[in-house]
Amino acid sequence: MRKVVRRGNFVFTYVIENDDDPTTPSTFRVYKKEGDGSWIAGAGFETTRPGTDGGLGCSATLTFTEHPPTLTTPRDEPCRLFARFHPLSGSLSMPTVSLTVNGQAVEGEAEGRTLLVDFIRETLGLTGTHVGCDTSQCGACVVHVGGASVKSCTMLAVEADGADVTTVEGLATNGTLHPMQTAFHEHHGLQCGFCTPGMMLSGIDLVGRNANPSEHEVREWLEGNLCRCTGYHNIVKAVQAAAAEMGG
Amino acid sequence: MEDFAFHRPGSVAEAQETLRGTEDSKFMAGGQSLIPLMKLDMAAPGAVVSLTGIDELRGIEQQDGSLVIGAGMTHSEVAESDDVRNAISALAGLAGSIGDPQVRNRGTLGGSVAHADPAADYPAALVALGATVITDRREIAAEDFFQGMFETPLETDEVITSVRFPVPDSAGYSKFPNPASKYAIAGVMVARNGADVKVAVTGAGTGVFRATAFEEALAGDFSAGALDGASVSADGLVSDTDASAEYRAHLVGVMARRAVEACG
Amino acid sequence: MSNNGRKIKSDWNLIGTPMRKVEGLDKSTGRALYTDDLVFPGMLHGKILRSPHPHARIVSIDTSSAEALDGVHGVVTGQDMPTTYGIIPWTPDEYPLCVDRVRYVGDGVAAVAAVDEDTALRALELIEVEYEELPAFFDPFEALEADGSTPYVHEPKKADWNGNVTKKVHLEFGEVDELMDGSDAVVEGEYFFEGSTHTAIEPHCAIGLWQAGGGFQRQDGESSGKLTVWSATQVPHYLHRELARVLEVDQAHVRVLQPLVGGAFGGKSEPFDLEFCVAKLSMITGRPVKILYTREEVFYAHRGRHPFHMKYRTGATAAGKLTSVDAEIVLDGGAYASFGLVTTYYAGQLLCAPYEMPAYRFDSTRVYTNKPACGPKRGHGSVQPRFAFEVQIDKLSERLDLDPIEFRRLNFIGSNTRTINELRVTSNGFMECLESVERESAWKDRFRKLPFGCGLGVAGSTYITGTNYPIYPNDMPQSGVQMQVDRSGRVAVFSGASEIGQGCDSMVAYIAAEELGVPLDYVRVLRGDTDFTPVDLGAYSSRVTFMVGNAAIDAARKLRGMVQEAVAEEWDVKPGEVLLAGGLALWAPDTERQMHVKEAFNLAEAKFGTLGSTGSYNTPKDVHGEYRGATIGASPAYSFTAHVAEVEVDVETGIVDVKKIWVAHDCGRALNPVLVEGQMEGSAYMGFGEALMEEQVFKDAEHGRAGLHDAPSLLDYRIPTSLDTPELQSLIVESIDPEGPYGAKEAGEGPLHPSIPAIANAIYDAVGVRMDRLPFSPPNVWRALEAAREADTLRKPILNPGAGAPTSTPELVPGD
Repeated sequence: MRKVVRRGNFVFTYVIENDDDPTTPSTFRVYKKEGDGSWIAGAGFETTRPGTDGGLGCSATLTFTEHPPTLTTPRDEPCRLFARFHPLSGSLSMPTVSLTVNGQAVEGEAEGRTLLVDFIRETLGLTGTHVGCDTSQCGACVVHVGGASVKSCTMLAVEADGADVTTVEGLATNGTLHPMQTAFHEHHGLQCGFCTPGMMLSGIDLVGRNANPSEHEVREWLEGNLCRCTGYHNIVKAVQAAAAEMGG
Repeated sequence: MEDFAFHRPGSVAEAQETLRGTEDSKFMAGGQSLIPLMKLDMAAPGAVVSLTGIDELRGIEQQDGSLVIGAGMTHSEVAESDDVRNAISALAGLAGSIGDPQVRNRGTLGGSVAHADPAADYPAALVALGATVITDRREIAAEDFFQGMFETPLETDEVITSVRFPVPDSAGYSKFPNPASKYAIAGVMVARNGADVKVAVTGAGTGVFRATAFEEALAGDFSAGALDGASVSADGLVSDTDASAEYRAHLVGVMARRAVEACG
Repeated sequence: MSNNGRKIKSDWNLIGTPMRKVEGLDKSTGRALYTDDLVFPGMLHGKILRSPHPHARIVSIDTSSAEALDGVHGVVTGQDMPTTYGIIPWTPDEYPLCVDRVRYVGDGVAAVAAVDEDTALRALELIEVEYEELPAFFDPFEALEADGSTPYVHEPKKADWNGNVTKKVHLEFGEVDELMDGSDAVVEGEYFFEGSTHTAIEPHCAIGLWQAGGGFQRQDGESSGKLTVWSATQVPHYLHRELARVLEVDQAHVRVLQPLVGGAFGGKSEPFDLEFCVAKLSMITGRPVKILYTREEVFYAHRGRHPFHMKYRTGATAAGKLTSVDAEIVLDGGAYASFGLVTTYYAGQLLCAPYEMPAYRFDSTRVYTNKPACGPKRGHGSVQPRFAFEVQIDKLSERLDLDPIEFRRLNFIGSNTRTINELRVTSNGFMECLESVERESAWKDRFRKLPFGCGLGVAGSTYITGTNYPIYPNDMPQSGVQMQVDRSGRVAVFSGASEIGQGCDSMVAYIAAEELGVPLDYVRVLRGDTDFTPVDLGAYSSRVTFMVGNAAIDAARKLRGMVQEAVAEEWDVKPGEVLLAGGLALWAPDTERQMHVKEAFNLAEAKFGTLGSTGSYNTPKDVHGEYRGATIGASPAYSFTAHVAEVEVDVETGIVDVKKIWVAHDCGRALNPVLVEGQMEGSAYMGFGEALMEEQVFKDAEHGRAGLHDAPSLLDYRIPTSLDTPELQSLIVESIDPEGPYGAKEAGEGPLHPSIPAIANAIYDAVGVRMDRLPFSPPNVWRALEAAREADTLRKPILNPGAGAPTSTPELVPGD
């Protein structure tokens, strides 16, 4: 009997290999937090082999003493909370990150775990880059690193050391709006505006690769940027209009 | 997220040295899977050794009927590479279907392969194309490499340097994606080399697997029609909120037929 | 001025023309500030401890270890705020933090303020809560059958009542049974509408600041202070009231500020735990406190679409006239009432247009379950029954061999009439909506004629333009706007309306510019602060354009009159001959005679003193019946919508590819057609998402912790991407409402409704399979296709108009 406890990016499957004799050792494969898999909570099983690391995963051998066992994983608990703002409270590492942001050399301290988006928002105070989801879906945090669009919530600040970063605040130059900004404003490609900075930065990356994207190509490219207001109609129009402007 | 020490060495040797010198440390090759896991506290390494600053992991070259892609190449780079498009366009297409553009701009071939997510796209390509995973110390055939969910024979300090893909006569990939993550709910890569046909399935089971019945049917008649009525057993397939095992089994058949149709 | 050179299509200079949003530049440059962008000196970060149990008694809470942790400045529990609240004054059933009982996985139990989120999280882990677990209710039907042997979700108000029932509504109009029995055809169906949530991209965020003392002394000599709360809310006025009441602070000493809101859709339309917690924690710590929900917490806060279990019987004559409609609805409400009392009425009350119903009965029951509370999501309470009813009509049309658009035409209720439940309908452009979608979709050439797998479906709907009565009973205006003009020629508009992306700041600016003749960039909208803006009740029930718009016109015209009078005196002409337009005051008989508005304003200020005005709007009171519940669903005006959806069904995988939706909407008058189209597209998109993919579902004991949200992330809860979203074509219909501002009605919610039934009906046209349960996700559709294959019914349906009148005896067609 195979049961999937949880699935998404993250898979927790346990296999009871012998339904007739549930106490036969079975495998329970999960990500683990501690070396001994101690966070696997529940009743009705014993960990007979703590498991070996395979890549990032862990397979532990469990012996079920009850059938079925009750197993809970971290995702079975509510609120695996994400802390967004990490102060520089002095822990394992505190490297100084030096990078160019919107054409200006900047420097700041960051922990290893500090996400690029937190560094941008909290350390540099550039609040035009937003956070909407915690799980790398919404794209409100998209910035350019080395000219390519990335989700700054899924990149460490320390990895941007030495890089050239552009945020929404750096799009206008010498008081002139970037054609993408003009297009979003003119074509009503924004309503609440929360997704707009990420949308524009994704759009600019696209136009850099494909000067004249079709409607379908724009839609494909914007898959990593969620908008809940517009139905995307005017966003697509805006990106295409900006592409025409940027090409011309 | 727990804090950790961070290193970005410039060579594989330095990376290994750093890793060995730090307890409970992990390689990170783009971080598009590891960082989300760390945010959920599902991975909490004491140190992260980033492989993104290593030049020797980069590059794409043709070698005697094979394509050798550096482990550090991002999915975008693979998708947009003329060399890959010309040699194995299905592989470029597969790389271009991973996640979203921003994930593709950071995520790497080596990272994806080492992670061995059972729903990732690359494992299907590696297995169907009969690719070889090349590490700092050995070469491992794809079928031996993917050992199930997140499991590989990689040692803790072992670094994938490149993957060698033999160029097939033709190949096609078709995926039924999870609409949010674009991971495969059922993804099928079909590759043909003369009479030899390999069909690799990702997303449907707890690891990539070959659909041997499909391979036999296609070996005799390489056409989508040859798979009419063919299906895989739902037994052992994943059943979850996305899709039941039965639905996945059905989708594997549909995706296989479409992958055959996509073969150039 | 952005409108230079634009074609003027009405009597107005700006109204009716495409104009940019006034805050669009800020939003496209990253300057726009949302609540989480604000940082204050000494600010602490808060986190809320949430219940891991769906239903449990709180035996004890020990916060001492948390309080002792370095960096922790304050901890609060339910005992610190033991006052119930609720957005509907008759159903106050929740505490800011649970006092004695938790009712869903994720219910707030305690909150911590610390120097940063990490420390706050560590502190949460140190809080020891002892729970006594209670049996939980997850299924509304089981909850309805509860006998009190285990604790109800809430204590019943009367001893013999079922405490799991929030509200029961039974209303009957006309001779339902007689007319049903006399019908030539009756269609019966059972429908299920899955719950879904708003998923605004901005998570909820609030900052509290308590300034103790501050010169305020209560009469009893006790020191008081001033409370300021910034929040991503769409109801600052209700938040203002509830903060004062729950925290026992004089309402005059509470100030609510509303930075720009990153989307809401109903998900921010009542007070939430974080707003009370930041306020209380600031009162305790003396420092500003911010709480930002994680995405996961947004899913627990919810207040989204109720799951509806619905049964409909719909009768018609052979000629295709509706005879009788009978509905039975069970609403799965979740753990708290929220707007549920209203939802229970809306479930039935809002169905009575655009079709004439000779008889109508509905029985609607909202049930408490141990899940996050449901509430108002775009199209509150009426999206679900509309889905069922429009599919019923499709089935009935087919039964009678009538084209479904024709069927809808035949039953059009008309304008300036009353519905069977006595709601006053004024303007009604539904026929034009039908005609638009019929024409643009080439319906007549394609319905039932596309190849197998491809189909078209139609649906219609109506929605309120604001509720006729405020949430708490009072006779004061629903909306107020204050305006002043100054010596620079500028107009300052003080607006209490909630800008949540829909464009209400722009709307009042357009009105000010239109009425006072100033360029749009001379209008400054000052907003989002209860200290200096008049009350507007909030951005809900599609009330803002109609009510705030009318208030703005009222304020602007008072000022305009003074300016006209002063200029007329200067020119020695009649005030009525003075026009204000294009930045000028002009003399109508000879527009060469003109002056800059600034000069005109200065003349007016010299004559009348400092120039300011207020305007307000309140609803007419004779727009509904006199029966109990008659006021709920009453609105000063109704919008009307019709959609046609085109789908292609992949019969191998069950994927429904919605190719296009034609969206025709009667918005009265489009004050700015670009903004109206944006609302129509956004609505149709959101309906599309509910139709195809969105599901707010919970685990059962088999699959983890029972009652735990199954998908509290955007990874697992799917909302449509740009690639998923179909082509949307907006077709504006203008019926010019007699009471709307320049004739305008709502556009932000109505156009969501028909998306879902239109897609369901299109699927039927494509493959002959009825989808009566949401969502039409690939596995669900595939299952239905497999069943049809098995029954050998998987085929293109045939349209045979007028081929055969149905039998004259009533015929029951069981639901699919």
